[in-house]
Amino acid sequence: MAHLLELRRLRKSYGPGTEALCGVDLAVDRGEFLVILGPSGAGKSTLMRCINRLVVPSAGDVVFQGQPLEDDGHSLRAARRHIGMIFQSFNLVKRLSVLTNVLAGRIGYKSTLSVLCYYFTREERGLAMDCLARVDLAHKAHQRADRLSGGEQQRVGIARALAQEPQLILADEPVASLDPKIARNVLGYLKRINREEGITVLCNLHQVDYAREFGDRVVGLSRGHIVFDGRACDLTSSVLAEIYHGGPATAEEV
Amino acid sequence: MADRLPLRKSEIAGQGSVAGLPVEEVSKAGAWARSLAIALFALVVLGWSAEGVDLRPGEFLAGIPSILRYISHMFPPNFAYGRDLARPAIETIQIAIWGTLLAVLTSLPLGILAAINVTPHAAFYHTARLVLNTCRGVSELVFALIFVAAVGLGPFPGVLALAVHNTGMLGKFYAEAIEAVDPGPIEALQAAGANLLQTIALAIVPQVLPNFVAFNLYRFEVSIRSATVLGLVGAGGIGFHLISSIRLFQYQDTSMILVVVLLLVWVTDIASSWLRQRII
Ligand SMILES: Nc1ncnc2c1ncn2[C@@H]1O[C@H](COP(=O)(O)OP(=O)(O)O)[C@@H](O)[C@H]1O
Ligand SMILES: [Mg+2]
Repeated sequence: MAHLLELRRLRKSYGPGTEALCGVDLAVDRGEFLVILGPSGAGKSTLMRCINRLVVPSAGDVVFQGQPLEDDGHSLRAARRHIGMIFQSFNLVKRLSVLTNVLAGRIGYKSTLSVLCYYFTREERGLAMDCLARVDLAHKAHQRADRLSGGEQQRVGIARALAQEPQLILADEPVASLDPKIARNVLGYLKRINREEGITVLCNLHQVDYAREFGDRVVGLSRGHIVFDGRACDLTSSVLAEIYHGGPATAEEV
Repeated sequence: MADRLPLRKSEIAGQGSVAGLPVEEVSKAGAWARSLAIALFALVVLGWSAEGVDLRPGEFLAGIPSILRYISHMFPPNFAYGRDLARPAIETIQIAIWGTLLAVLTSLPLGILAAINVTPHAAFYHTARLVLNTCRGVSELVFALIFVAAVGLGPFPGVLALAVHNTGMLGKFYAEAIEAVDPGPIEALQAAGANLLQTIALAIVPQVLPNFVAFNLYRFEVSIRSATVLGLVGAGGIGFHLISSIRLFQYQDTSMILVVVLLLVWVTDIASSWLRQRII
């Protein structure tokens, strides 16, 4: 069976001498929970943003569900609605209710006019409530988003991604601004969604503990290169040294 | 430029000393020299401007008695005249209402185009900025003169003049408010497949709405004040009566008009602060 997502020789440079991705090849299958592990500045966010084209790659291909992603508005919108994204800073619209924030996940399916009127159908509201229930926040649906704690806000972020009925969820350091207990709780929700609903999850992390605990497969990223691709239990200290201090010889020489 | 500055500072701090002096002393001496230069420059500008405007404090002091005489002629205000002022006072409010409302409608699209984070193209951005700066830079009285010549005397040219000037003020404010929004939610909605208008509606409008309402109310208050003088150039409102009473030396009528103007401003300030509290 074809992969859900394939990156082929993906490169991104933000300008001369700032090579954030140096030719990344990666294939992700349906149902995987894949952790991308690397220190700050390794290129994890860039990799994720190249997938949904919040960042336009300098070279290479992103193939999603067998289709190469293109920049033309129509097909990009069609691809994006199937790819949920979760952010380190949650990125909720603070002044809107929790429920409206989750409904915003439907935006890629809706007409411009209906969004301008804040019009959501009964089915959409039902789906949004269901997504909130899956992160145990149905009782907070009508509160303003900024009234919630950090962990709860991130669970709303997960519910918003779920409302997209996504094939793939991209989580960019989803727990970096949460303390460890809350962080494990939030990662637990992501893991459960992956297990029980079979939604593929790509999760950027910089802490090894979480990667070991939640990742099935771990990809180590260092200075824009993939330096490890294997099972979480194979993250030996020499592998970690390479991810965190080394990088391949070519990068050393520069 | 702006992002180079901290870099330079840290370089200096890293070296520990410049020309044999400890860093602390160098930057202190530099700061002193800069303050001195700024103070000198300010003095020169002040002196130059005083020269330009013929500043004569002596003659002002000598003129105080005649100013007091003028004011004493104004008392008591001609309260009976108040009845004739009701209609122009109401007209003044009406001019301000439409002069603000029309501006809200025109400045919304212009403000969006002039916000660097949402404008669809640099050409729109620069054009919108140019239009807004022109509207803002020219006084409503100048626009009133132009519109009186174009559509004739009366309150309507006053409305148009206020609308054009307010467009510049509101549009620039809208653009700046939009540029200051948290980009996180915008990115989140774009990642979910939102187009530009959807992003504006769901991520930007909720963030800027309270500021917009507050600023619209503020511009309405300012418009009331402006509308009281539009009559000076024949563009409607109570200003027409003001200028005629001054020309005819009807001091007590003039003071009655000023009383009405103050009342107008006072009442709008109260009304709009009441509204502000309700809405925001
Ligand atoms: N918008 C940008 N402009 C310029 N350089 C950037 C930008 N975003 C990221 N970079 C650079 O690209 C590299 C990778 O960054 P990033 O993808 O954010 O890494 P990570 O998410 O692993 O911390 C870093 O060296 C960073 O400074
Ligand atoms: Mg990052």
